[in-house]
Amino acid sequence: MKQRWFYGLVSAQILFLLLMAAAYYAMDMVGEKVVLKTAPVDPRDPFYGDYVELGYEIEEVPGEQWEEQGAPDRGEKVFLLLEADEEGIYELQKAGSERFDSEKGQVVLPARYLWEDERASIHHVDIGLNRYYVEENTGKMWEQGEERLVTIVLAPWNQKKIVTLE
Amino acid sequence: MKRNQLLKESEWWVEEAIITEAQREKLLEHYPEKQYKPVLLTFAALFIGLGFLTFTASNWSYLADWGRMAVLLLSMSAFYVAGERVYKKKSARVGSSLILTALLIFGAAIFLVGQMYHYTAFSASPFLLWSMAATGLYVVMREGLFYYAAAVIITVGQIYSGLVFQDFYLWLGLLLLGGLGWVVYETRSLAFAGVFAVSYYIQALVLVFSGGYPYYWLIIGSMALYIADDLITQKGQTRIWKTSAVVFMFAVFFLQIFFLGDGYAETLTESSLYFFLIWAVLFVLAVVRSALSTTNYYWIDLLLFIPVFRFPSGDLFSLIVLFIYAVLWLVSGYQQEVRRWVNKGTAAFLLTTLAAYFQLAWDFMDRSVFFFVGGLLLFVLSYGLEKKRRSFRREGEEQ
Repeated sequence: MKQRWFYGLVSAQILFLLLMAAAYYAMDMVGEKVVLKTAPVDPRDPFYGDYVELGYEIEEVPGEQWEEQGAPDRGEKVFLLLEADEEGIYELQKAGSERFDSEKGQVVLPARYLWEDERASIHHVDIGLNRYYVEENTGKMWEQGEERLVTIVLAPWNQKKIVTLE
Repeated sequence: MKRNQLLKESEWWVEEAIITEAQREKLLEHYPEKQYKPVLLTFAALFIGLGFLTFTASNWSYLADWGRMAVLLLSMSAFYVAGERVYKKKSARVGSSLILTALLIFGAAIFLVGQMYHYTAFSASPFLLWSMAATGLYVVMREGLFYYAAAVIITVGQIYSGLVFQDFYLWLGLLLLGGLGWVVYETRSLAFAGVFAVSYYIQALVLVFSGGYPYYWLIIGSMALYIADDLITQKGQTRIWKTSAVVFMFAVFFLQIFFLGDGYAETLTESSLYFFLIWAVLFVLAVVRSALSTTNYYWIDLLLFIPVFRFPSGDLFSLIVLFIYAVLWLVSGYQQEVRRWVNKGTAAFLLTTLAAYFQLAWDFMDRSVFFFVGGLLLFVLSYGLEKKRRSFRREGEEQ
């Protein structure tokens, strides 16, 4: 066994994990801040002990904003084009399987396709930020159905996280 | 002969002046003492590792992010360093199991760190990184254990990709072909080739079904492996890729008997031009190969690569091909007196009869009559075949 190669391989693994973490903290500096409105989620009690289950308005794409014919497969990557309104809250412009070009005041958010509600003509997608971890036993203050604002930060390398929940 | 036995016997050989003492020592060198394998130590290492991991897992939610990071990184490095030391100085076995534990921690860490820092994966890429680490360990250490680890991670990753994303993850497929395939080519290890074949077929199934391709592309997949077998086999070795391709295609044929009914076959033949082009090239290669072979009987296996779905009533056609296949092996087995072929033919014949019986009689027979007659039929068949086989064996022994 070549010792040097072995330790090279081990270091590469450590480095990779460290980079994953470092990217998360670097987001605060280089990422773009986006404020989103929550939508009521399915479970009656969104509070799960140490985290809150969140849904977003932009995760329900009405048929007319869907740029595509038909629905992609579940789990497929889709893109959402968002634009800030006067209050700085981002709202959905359009969505589809192709990446959009964004102008000033717009951001493109990758998401995963979930399912289509054909009756209501709504495409459900998942932006992957549906859990917000809170300190234990403070969750009772989160009431069901209440509309909240979530600030997320979006990194150029497609990573994202929740910064605050108001 | 075992070393202990040889040790005693050879003493006597020297006394009888059959061999000299020097010759005896030389002989004994060929039977090295079996290495003491510290199985218990391996388990001890694994248990400590597992205990540590479960302890962390149960206290995971109390830890801050940086604490979790520290736990993962420290435990992974500790297992790697300890593994490397032990591998080199004490025991290769314990060392590699420690390193395997570290590899498992790395895999868990990719997912845990991803979850901690809200990464969303849109493909099986975590598995790709993990299996690359495993393949790298094999390349550096040349320990079979890591080859198997890599194969398992690649296969599980591909299944995950198929189930969660309904997608074939190309890079995992390439890592199997280019990475592990290369290892099989280089080492010519039978066990490696077998594991490769299992992963290959699972991935082929994921590729065909998640991509929504017609099932007949599986024929191309198994033909490719059938032909590639020549690259890796040495003389006198079991032809494991060939065998696996034949078994796989037999299973495909078996299923075709049931689902290539009316109407389905027609929908399949649309846009099958590319299939037939590739199929023709591979089939010619396979025919040339079997013509070059010293035994003139391997062309029988090629029957299983016939694209029966192209013909009307493909279900019946599959059944006929399978019967011909079984009978041909039986007949040539008896003629050439190769017991392996007779066994192969017998098994194929019984399975085909079973399928035929299910296909033809299930619909219009009363269930109890169905099983009753089927049992009788199998009984008579196996009696006849066994009788023939025994008389054949007796003849072989008499000669």
